[in-house]
Amino acid sequence: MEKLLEILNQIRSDIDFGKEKALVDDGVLDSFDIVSIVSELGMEYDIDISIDDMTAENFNSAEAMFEMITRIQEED
Amino acid sequence: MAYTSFGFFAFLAIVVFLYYIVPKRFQWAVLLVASYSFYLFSGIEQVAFIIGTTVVTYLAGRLMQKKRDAYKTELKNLGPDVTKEEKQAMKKAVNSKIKRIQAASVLINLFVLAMVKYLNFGIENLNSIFNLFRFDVEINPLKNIIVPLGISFYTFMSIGYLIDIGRGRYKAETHFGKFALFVSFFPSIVQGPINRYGDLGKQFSEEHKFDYTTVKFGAQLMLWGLFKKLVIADRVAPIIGTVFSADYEQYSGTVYFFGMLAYAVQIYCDFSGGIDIARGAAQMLGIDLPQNFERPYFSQSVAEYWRRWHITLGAWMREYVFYPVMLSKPVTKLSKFFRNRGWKYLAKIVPSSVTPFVVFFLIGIWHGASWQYVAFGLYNAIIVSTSVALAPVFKKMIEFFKINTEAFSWKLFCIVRTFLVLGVSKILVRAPGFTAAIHMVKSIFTDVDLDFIFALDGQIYELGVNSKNMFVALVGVLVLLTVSILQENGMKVRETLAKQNIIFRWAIYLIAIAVILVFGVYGPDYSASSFIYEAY
Repeated sequence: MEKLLEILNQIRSDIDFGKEKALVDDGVLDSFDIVSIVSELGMEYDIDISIDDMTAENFNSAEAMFEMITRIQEED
Repeated sequence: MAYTSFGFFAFLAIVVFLYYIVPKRFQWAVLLVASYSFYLFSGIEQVAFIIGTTVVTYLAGRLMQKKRDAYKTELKNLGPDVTKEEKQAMKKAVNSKIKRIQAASVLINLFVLAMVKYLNFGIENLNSIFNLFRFDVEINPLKNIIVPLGISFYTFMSIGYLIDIGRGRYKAETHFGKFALFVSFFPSIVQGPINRYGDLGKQFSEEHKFDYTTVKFGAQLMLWGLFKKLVIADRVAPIIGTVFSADYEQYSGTVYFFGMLAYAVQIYCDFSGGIDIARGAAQMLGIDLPQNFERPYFSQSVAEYWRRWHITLGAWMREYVFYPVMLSKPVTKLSKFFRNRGWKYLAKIVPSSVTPFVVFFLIGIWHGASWQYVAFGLYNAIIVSTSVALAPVFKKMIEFFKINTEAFSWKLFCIVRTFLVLGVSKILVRAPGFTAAIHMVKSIFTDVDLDFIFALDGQIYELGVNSKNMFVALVGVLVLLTVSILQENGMKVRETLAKQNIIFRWAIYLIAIAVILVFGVYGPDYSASSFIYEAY
């Protein structure tokens, strides 16, 4: 989780990823941020985030992203 | 039947009445009959198109769901003995079947849209190419093509549904009537919002009890929409007709600038007013339609503007074009190629700056089949891509000049800058041709006519709107601006109004109705002009 927060902070240092719970729903992250996150997570965790995973629920908070990463790793 | 006509209000009153007196389980049926009755007003031959789209989309959705359910049942029957590899192979097989059904049904929908909206545009361009190479061939454009009401909107909604079902976002609708209602729901059929099944579909299965506050809020929203459309948009319309006419050359750059301002006011009030009427009418039926505007002219960048203007089209493009392109194999490979060479900046920037061209090209031609709309799309794409690519440079400049980005003055500067940059794209689509558009933009900088602004010699009133009407329009815009600033600062206007004393509240309602009746712009038979987005 700490590694994830570090990655996210590198992309948007102005956001407190530990606290935010509605990153997508409240428009904190825009689509360019999300694509950057997807690309970064794909590299760092060696996973393929598919279009089917691109839901607001998966990106609304750092925990949600962490759960998504864990799920994809288990499925692979 | 226009949303601004008395006929529509009578129609809506009857629908609302029937909707709340029938047994709750038949409410969807009232809405379906109402939606098709509304649609029939636009012509019986058009109904065939929407029924065709509905049937194809419904059946494809059911078929995809059947394949997915069969896969899940099979997996369950196999029990725990199935290996991970077998499971993956089964998943791959079912996904490929689903994707084929999805692709075929999406293509059918796109084909119909292309035939009615873009065929003649294609023929015109082919003829130009033949002419260029001196071929003695000319294809006659098709005459009397029917462009069914709302086809761009309901086709996009249907495609969105097919993609969502294919992705397994939700289960396909099994009830044909309720699905047909989703495609044809009368408040949003003319000009959106572009609804998503996941948000709207389930509301048709819920029971809606009569709730005075909800119905009242719906009516207020409609009233606000009518104010924007009839009092402001239709009042300033003649200015735009005059300035952007074929005789445009007689005007100075300052007049073009004024025309651009008037057009910005008109298009926002026309479209967002129409959406308010649609959302208000739906709210009277207890149905929530998504927001389509969030005070877009307060945006501080073009990218932000596109998140606040025609929100549902932007969201559609993001879900079904932007993300799929960004996550597609060629784009991710390109990104990896740069990254493997240590060019992190390029790995990030190249896909982010190329994809907006695809998105905005589509947004451009969605609005209409013409090269002016293509140019409009490309212009926006260039701005968004450049700002993404140069973001680190801007960040450094802001740090270097120690600019306080939280200061009001800086925000205001960004708002005005964005508005003007977008003003150019508005001229691009509204001017009578490319040459005119370029001439107009150039003149704004080179042909400044201070007399037009300061002499008050009346030239401003010769553009089709007299002094009294200009005054009403100005007051209308000031009211709109005040309300928008209050909303921007978090005030919920209707809720705040509901807390006031009854006399004050009713005084406001009656004044609002009187203003619309007295100052609304009506044609000779009391029918307002049609909505601009109705044609898209």
